[in-house]
Amino acid sequence: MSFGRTLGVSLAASLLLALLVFIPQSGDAAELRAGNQPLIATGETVREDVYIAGGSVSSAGVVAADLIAAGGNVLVRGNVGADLAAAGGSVTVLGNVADDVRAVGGNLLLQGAIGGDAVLAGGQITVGGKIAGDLLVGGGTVRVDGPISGDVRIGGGDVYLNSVVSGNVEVYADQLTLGSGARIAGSLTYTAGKEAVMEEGAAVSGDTTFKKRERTVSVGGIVAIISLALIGTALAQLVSALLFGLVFRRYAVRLVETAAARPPLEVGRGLIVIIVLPIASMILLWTVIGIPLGILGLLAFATTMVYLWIITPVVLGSFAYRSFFGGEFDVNWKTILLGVLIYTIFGIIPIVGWLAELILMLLTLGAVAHLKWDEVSSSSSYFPLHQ
Amino acid sequence: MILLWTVIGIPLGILGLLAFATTMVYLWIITPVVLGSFAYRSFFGGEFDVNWKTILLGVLIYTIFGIIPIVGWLAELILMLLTLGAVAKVKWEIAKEWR
Repeated sequence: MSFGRTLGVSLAASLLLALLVFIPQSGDAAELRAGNQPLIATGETVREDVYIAGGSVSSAGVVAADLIAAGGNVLVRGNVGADLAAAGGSVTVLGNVADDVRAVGGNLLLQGAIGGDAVLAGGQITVGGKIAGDLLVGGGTVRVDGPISGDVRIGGGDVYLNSVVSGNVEVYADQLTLGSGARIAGSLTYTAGKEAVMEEGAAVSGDTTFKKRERTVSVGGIVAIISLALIGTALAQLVSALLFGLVFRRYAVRLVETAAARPPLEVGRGLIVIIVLPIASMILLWTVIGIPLGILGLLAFATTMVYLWIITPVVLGSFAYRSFFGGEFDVNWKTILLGVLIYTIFGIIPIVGWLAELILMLLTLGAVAHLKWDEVSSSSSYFPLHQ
Repeated sequence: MILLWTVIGIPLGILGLLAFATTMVYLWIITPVVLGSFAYRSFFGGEFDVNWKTILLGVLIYTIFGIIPIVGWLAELILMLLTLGAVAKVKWEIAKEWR
């Protein structure tokens, strides 16, 4: 199954419930069809509402009531007597729908005639059939060729309108193009990056209002956001580091001393842990029987990474404080504050700073692993029965 | 979850949730070990011990509990809580030394 299809199935599953909410509920009985390739066969007529879901959904028969379809691929070739709601990676509607259509999908193609309104959302949307009501579309690339009796509202990236619209048209897009077949009886209001391209023959009977889309985020805004994120991250790190460093102060001092005793050895130990733990966990996952241990290993790895992010500034601060002021290794609010500050500065400096962070993390990880190993080795002292 | 909502406590919140998930998997593994040791002692007497026979017995009983609706699941839950309590006590003893 391709990524797109997988995504489509996931999307379909999650949106099915949402679609059901929007579907008008009738008192009639409903028919449910599901499976890998659920089908309403050619020549088949279903009188009640149909809920159909699966990998590849096809409706070639006639559904006299509502049709609710979800799947990786959804193809509706037969006619629908009431509403249609569809969700999927690819949704194609070739049959006629007597009432409203609501569809969500990666690729959406509407070629049949729609008796009511159409509400569509997706990546690439093409509307070729006639729509008797309004059209509401949100999508990346939108193309409308079929005649629309009501109003049209489109939000999208690239919008190509090439149809006869009896009502008003409202567009919010990066780029709007009116094709040679575009005939808008009402007014055209659009917001876009630049003025619409009008192909020869395109006509708007009412007023045309263009509003240039403003740049919503300025350079100053981006700098402010980054600064805020940095300050927020540093504050969160400081709070966590203070909590760990001060509550388990003796442990933190021991960690610093262990890291300082033989730094190259601890960096090497940290490197081994950071390489071996995830690889061993992945191998365990592949052995099937070792899945629980693999999950445990991966969770331990993730936990260790977050823990390291918190504890590394504690070690760094203690090192730095001793370098600046001399004396013994210590862990207190001043050393932790200094550590978080230096660690944050390292994070801003590309390559060199990041490399320094990595080495410090490996050093701390090595020391953590060292202490953990000592703890496990002496664990028998916690289990007197084993002695 | 509360820490996650405080924004500034997000790292601790993530750490807490990860630790919770890790503990759950760990408990699923270690509970049969504790159960087996209890059961072996009940059946054969003597001191508490952990060996391949006690572990095998523990996994067997734990699996049987899993098949029995309500009562079995309740027994599993109580055993897991018992083991969690013991794990927390051992961890607390270690943590006290580090303070």
